[in-house]
Amino acid sequence: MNPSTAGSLAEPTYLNHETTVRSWLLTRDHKRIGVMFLVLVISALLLGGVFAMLLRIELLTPGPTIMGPMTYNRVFTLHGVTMVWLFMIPAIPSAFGNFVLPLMLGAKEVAFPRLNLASVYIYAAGAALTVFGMVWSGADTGWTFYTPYSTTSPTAVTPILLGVFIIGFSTIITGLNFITTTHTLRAPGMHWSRIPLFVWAIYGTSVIQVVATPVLAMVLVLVALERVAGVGIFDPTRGGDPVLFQHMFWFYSHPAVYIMVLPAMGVITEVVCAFSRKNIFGYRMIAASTFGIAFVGFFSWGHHMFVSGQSTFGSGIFGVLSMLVAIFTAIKIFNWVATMYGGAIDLKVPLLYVLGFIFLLTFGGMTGVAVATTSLDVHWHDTYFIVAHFHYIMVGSVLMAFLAALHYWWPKMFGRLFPERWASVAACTIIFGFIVTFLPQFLLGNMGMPRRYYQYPSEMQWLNVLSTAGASLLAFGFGLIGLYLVWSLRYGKVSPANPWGSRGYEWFSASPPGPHNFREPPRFEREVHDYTVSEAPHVF
Amino acid sequence: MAEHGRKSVWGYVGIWGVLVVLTVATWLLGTRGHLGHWSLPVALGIALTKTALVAMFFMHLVEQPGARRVVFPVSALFLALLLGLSLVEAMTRVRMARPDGPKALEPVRPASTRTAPPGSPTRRVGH
Ligand code: HEM
Ligand SMILES: [Cu+2]
Repeated sequence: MNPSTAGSLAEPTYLNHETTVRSWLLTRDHKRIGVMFLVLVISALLLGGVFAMLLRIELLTPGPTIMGPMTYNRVFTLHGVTMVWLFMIPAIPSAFGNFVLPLMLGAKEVAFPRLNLASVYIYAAGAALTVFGMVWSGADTGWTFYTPYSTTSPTAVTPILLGVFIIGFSTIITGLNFITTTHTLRAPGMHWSRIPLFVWAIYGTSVIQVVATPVLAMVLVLVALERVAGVGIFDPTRGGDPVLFQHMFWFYSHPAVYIMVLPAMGVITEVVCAFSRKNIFGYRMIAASTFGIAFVGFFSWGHHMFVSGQSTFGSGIFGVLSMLVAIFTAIKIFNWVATMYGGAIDLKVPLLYVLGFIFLLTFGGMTGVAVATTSLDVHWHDTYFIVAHFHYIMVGSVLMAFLAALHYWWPKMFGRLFPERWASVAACTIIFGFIVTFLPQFLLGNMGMPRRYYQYPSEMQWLNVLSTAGASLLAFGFGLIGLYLVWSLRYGKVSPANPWGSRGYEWFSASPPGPHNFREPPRFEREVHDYTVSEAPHVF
Repeated sequence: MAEHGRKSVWGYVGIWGVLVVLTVATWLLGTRGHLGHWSLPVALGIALTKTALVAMFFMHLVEQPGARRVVFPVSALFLALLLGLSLVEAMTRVRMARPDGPKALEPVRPASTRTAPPGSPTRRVGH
């Protein structure tokens, strides 16, 4: 091969080597599957975002504004269900994990490409069933489906339960696929101690997915059984125990918050290195703390049940165990900061999102420790304080990392650059809008405004107006991002193979990569993000 | 496991025999045995043994070192965690909502009457 043409744009890429619709729908290429997931989860984000705006508009005034109370119950349920189950859980692993994990390992494919394709369709089927349930008659249980209300509510809870159940299978399959890929398809030179930290994060997430998701599936089926066949498992009037539902639900759903956050942390690690031009500070500690979080995350589910009638003894244990998670999170935060310290910081758009991430995660995590204190939680439970806590930490981290990843890997995925100036404006709008939306909610909660209520005393109005104003800023920021990204697909500057000068292994492939990722199998002869070497020698 | 790697038909028949014996033991325990507090743990122990036998030999997990060394213990750990912590919580709960207060605990009444619907004769709210 003539070296001077290496990396030229004439090479076929995964995007243009076949262009029929059929070649996309039946593809087994992890990169195309990642792109399909990206489109699906962004659609979910949009849908959930529309519901969010409806909620915030309703809360502009103390009384009824644009909808009735029953509609309000359905809208917050739809918002939560869509955002949690359709967006936050699959977003980073299924879209970006699929796209970059094999590239980072130097693999041609994931271990089970057909299963990977199946996971797209399973996700789509589950999402379709969920959306069908929403359109049919909605559900008014909240995203947590608490019994005994969810077993008696006259709304369409059953199709939504089954939809979420089906999506769970997609999650499990994706997790298994990533675990197997990491074990079996690493390129020569890729020792366990060289695996990029994004891969470690996805790997840890996959373990949680495989271990915990079956419990969710089981409890959803039990609720559906109780609704359809009247089996008395959770309903106390039939001899059941409603707190048992909460145990089983949170045994999955607390670790599930780490299913959302760990991949986000993985993205942040990659981006911090690339834009500080330094290898990560404390590689081993970051990898190990991923597993610390994954493990301890399984011991803390009871902190959601402090006021459920759970035993005081149980609450005490769960409260203390919850606080352990904060230690592992702090390890990561200190390591990111230490990586930036003394680095040659290049404040590009992805790094802006990282700064937003670090602030929101720290703030949200500290309020987490506060609500894990049983005595304080009695005051805050089911108020807007909790809403603010979990939006800060969950939405703050997943959304920031999702946007960081989208901008960081955009040139890799589509071979185009986005307009930097516009993107910085959007990033600042999003971060600022986010803080304006959710900071007032801490105050609202502390003043005693319950979550999931559609009316409130008029002294609380100004904080609600502030929150809605922030949400509008957020919506504006998203609109902007959507516009310039779609614009860049066609008119953006053609990106060089490695526009950021990153030393991440995924940049060893062309941008966008060829159909088989690498022309010749890469050999990884240095640590990931080793900035002491000159630029990656050539694109494989 | 002593029968490691056993492949012949007689091995399977032998295991099947053990399963039958264990089933009979469960039945005897339920009808004749008077183990009191111990009957539940013993019955669960037998069930667990049977599960392990089926998984190891009929599902061939015994031939999969990865499954035997990692997947099995990890699953057992997490199952123990879920069941253990939930049980500990349920056993240490103060039953504020119990219709007839903490004095009349399970042994007196059959479990099926524990939370009778409001208005039924077995349910007395606030005495
Ligand atoms: C890593 C990120 C975390 C995420 C994504 C997260 C997410 C959530 C979510 C979604 C809820 C609300 C669930 C609901 O009722 O709808 C919640 C509540 C709670 N979180 Fe976190 N959390 C995180 C970290 C922490 C930490 C580190 C702690 C403790 C040290 C903590 C303690 C709590 C407690 C005690 C509640 C329940 C409060 C209540 O409902 O009264 N969280 N969290
Ligand atoms: Cu939790």
